Amino acid sequence: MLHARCCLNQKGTIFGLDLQNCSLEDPGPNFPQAYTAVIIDLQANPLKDNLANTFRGFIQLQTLVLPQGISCPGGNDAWKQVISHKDNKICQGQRNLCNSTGDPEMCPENGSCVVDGPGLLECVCADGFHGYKCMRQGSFSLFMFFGILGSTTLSLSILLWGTQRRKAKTS
Amino acid sequence: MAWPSVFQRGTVLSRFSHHHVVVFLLTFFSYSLLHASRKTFSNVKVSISKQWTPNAFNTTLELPVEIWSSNHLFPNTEEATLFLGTLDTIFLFSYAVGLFISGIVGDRLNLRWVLSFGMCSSALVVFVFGTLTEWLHFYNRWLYCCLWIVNGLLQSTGWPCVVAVMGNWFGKNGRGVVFGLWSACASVGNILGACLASSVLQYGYEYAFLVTASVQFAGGIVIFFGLLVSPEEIGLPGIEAEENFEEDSHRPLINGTENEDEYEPNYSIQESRTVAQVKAISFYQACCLPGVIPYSLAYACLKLVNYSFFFWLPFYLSNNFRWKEAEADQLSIWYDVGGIIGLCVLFVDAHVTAFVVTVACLCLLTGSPNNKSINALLMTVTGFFIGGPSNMISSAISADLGRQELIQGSSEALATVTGIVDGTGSIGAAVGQYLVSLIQDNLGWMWVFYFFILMTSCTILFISPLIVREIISLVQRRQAHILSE
Repeated sequence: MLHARCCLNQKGTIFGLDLQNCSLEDPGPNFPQAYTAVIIDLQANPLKDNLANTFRGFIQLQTLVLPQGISCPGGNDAWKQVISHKDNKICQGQRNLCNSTGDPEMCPENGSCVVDGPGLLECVCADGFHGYKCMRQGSFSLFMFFGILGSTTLSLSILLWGTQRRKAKTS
Repeated sequence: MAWPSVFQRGTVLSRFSHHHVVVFLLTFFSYSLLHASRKTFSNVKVSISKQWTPNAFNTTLELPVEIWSSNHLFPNTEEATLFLGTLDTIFLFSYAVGLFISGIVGDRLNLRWVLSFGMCSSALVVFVFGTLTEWLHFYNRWLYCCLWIVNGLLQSTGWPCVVAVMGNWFGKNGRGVVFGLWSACASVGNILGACLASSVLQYGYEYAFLVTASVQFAGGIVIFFGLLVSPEEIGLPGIEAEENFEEDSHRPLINGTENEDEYEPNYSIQESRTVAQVKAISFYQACCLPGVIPYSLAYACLKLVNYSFFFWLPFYLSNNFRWKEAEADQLSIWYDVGGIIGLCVLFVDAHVTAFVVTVACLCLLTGSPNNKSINALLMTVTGFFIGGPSNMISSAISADLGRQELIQGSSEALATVTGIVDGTGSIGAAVGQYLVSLIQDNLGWMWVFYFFILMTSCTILFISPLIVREIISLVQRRQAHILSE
């Protein structure tokens, strides 16, 4: 489904983005909205060579066409294949750098590394952990706890009232 | 020295009704629960200081701010640790102050009301401190300080009340055995607190506070409905009536099972009214009594070490060995187990106390291998030698001092002496908590242990006159025994 310069899929999310020859110096403030794109074409734009953080969140991006002279975001290591043509450069296939560095302690305790765009990595909570600094695991069953505690308290109070304080003189 | 009490036990037990048993259990567990909620704070120190600080982990990776560093109550863990130490100190200070206030209050109001009010309200404060602030993400150090002062005051209602109730029911007869068992309540509370906290810590530290606070609140309710403050309440004869014909002012002093009849007498509020007012001595006079100051200082040093373990052991284990906090909590239980064993053994023979404290130094010195079972063993031994004596010493030594000829028979004087010994101990413990965090911050954990060794050595130094005197009297008794045969 084509819509202006966007290629949308059935659900209406951006699938492809054709921004060639738009005289863009940078992709603009609304560019992150296109984070679902798989293919983006930016050739024939006078882009500044500082795209490192532009593609934050573009985790599905597989093909990026850039003007010649602009390096692929995240460096060549972040891509499976970089093809240079006469008037453009194609960055093909994002590589998952989390596994490639081989350092298991890249993230704080309970954190795990995830890809957040080409060459961009971040630490989020590992599976099952949540909360500040990912310190929490699972969820506490308030209902069950207070159910058990309440009923125990009630029965103990009744039992002790019956056996102990019933005969007590109120002084 | 153990067998006379065993001999007596039959006659003592036959006098106990099911009311006695229930009162024993209720007071035991109410104080245990108070201690458990106190212990929770020391069990979650690692989590709470992580919660208060931004991330300190160095990595090239992007760390999303809202997950890793949105909290800036303290810039780093060191300052958070210092603040945790400060909280311990102000808690102990307000607790010490509260002991005096709640003694007066408990004297005028119904003990049952005071105790159950104390438990429920301090449970609420702990809930606000640990759970509510976390749920609302409201972290403020002044709020924490204020809440902990209030908590110290409210927690202090527990001890005078339970001791007074125990005194009402068990009197002087058989108090040695009963109180001996009963003194384990603090250690049992610590174990209970550590178990509760470590079992829910994975859900977040706020649930550790929530669980202990709720259980304590429930305990307060049960106390309100179930506790009989004194035998008179249900028409049983009071304890003084039974005791009139048993004068016991010439029993052996510090040794053995029977020394507990003056157990913390400055707190047995209601009972003290019935005791004949022989003569009171001034604070200054009490200080000048031979032995009072050395023993006070000895107790201060020992209590300092004991409370430092109480407040800092899980934190140390978790920080130093990189164990999971829940595991560190569970391992720290062994310290209390050692304390209970120590207490039981010491009740059989108190002489050993002072001698064996020396051994604790060795344990502390070697106590740092990163092996869980060895550490558990070491903690048990340390608990045995530090926790046990510390629980004992306040009652045993002050009773011993109070029996000096000058003030014999005057419970007022004894109360003053016990007050001095206990007060010095509390101040020592309170100051110690801040010192521990300060030393740890500047010099590292190893120096904290050197500090402990120094303090333990001081205890031995101060207590040595007692040992010498005990040996002399032991020798004399032995000679008398030989002569009589």
